[in-house]
Amino acid sequence: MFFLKAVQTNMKQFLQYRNSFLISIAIHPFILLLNIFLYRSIFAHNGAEQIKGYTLTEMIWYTAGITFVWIFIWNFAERRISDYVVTGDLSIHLLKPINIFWYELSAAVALRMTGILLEFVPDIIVYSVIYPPSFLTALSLAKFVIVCVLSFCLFFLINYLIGMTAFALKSNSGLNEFVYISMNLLGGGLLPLDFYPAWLQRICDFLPFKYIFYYPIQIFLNKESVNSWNEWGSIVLTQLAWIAGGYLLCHVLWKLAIRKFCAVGG
Amino acid sequence: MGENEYIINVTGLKKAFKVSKREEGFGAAIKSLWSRNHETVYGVDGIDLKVRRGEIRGLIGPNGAGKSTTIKIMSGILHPEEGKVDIMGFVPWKERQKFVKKLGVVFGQKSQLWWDLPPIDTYALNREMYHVPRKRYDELIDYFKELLQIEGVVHKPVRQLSLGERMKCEFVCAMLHEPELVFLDEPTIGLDIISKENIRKFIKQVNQDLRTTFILTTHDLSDLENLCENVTIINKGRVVYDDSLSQLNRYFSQKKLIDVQFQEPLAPDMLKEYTLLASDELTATIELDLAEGDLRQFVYELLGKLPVQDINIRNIPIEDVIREIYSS
Repeated sequence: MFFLKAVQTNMKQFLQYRNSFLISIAIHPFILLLNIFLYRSIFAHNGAEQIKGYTLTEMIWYTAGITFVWIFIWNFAERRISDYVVTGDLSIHLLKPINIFWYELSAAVALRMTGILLEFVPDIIVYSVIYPPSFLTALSLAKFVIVCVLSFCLFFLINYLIGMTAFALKSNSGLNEFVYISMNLLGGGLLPLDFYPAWLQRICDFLPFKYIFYYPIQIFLNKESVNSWNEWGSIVLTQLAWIAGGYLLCHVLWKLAIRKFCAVGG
Repeated sequence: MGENEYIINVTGLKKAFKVSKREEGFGAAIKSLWSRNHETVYGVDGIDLKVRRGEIRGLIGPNGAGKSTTIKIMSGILHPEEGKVDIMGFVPWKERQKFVKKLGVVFGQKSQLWWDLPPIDTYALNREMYHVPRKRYDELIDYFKELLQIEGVVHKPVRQLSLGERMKCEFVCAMLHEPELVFLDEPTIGLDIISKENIRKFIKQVNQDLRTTFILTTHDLSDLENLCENVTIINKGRVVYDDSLSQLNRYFSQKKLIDVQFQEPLAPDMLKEYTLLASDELTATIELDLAEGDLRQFVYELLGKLPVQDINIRNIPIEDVIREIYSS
């Protein structure tokens, strides 16, 4: 099947760059150590058991969760698509009997499979040795992995949409930056959303970003608010709804963009 | 043969582009933020093209003549404004996905191979992409390896290949799904003479063995002379020549070039009645327009008047003919 073959070929390609993956294995523990020191002193200063419902262990592992989610989702579809449009290489791809969406998805899947293999697996072992995750169970880890796969899809669609803006904008790095920062701030990619005032949390409810970071990490931390099957199920369904909407939008916009591209020439 | 005789049948093709005009200077750059002047230009302005199955057709023209636009329309990635296009029974831009399955493309300036992987990995991916049966795929790989002598090359990462080796591999990539029609866009650009010859031999052989039709755009006239029987010249969005290459030679056959070598140095004014293209004391190249004078008589007089040691009469070289056509 073409999709699987493309994933395999992409993985071969990315494994050529295994050094950059190995570098992140070396760096990630230092980020964890940094966060351990940071949150220890914050908790000691406040003399509190919990801050906004997070214990010290949970807070430290929240930051680890951010790293893990990134390992599951990161891809650069937006740059690849912008490059195709700006350099005119899109024409070459249009000369192949492939659907570019699935072709790009195969590259992103391969990139993440390589990342999970070379980063996530060693990271979670090393992290657990440094600061044992007392809260973690096999079930919560499995639930986390599943929602992370959906986070990946969601993030891929966002990237794909940003990439497509190159048809109209040519240079979309500013927009890209804006979306990334919003995603981090409003999705829980820097701090838990519980730290925000109510009105800001309300805004986050209307955005897909917290289904990329915040909820997956809540599941990872095995927080009480999400550990029933009902809660988990509703998070998964909401993710699927956002994915369906995003896919539809990508599909329609792509058709329009290609029609215009073929009308005026690259 | 009837209907099917032509693999490409294009009539009255037109494609307009909007070109934005902007004055020089920073002020104009600011002004262009809210107001732009557009001008409509016909990049392709009524092109007709018919190509027979199994032909190797040269498609040439100066830069900006409308060649690439024509190729883009014929490969389905650009819609024309007007005109009829029938290629292998398809209207390319209407059924692009189906159409491109039967199409192969080689770009001299762009690679289709995966840069970090050996070519064989790209081939394997293309096998899936085009649903080539395993057995046929193996046969073709063996055939191409033998023909191009790339046994070891296909297992080395592309970034380590020389340009000549890489181009051979690019060709295999474009041919694995046995397309009926292949567009070659400057396939020999940057190659040394031997590599060029190898690529040409390959094109000829595949053309014979698989009956593949090739459309070749190039700026290298020796490509045309070696490969193409027929050539189409496009200039300013129109077809300005569409016939055999040998006929192109006769395009200016009313003009002859006569190279003369003299026994002894001549005074310059002894040659002043002739149209000289080049001359020094001992040699001269004279252009003769047959409309103005008879060749036999001209040479007879020349031999009588001047101390001629050697004489050579030739046609205007094809480069000059094409230069003439481009600049007209």
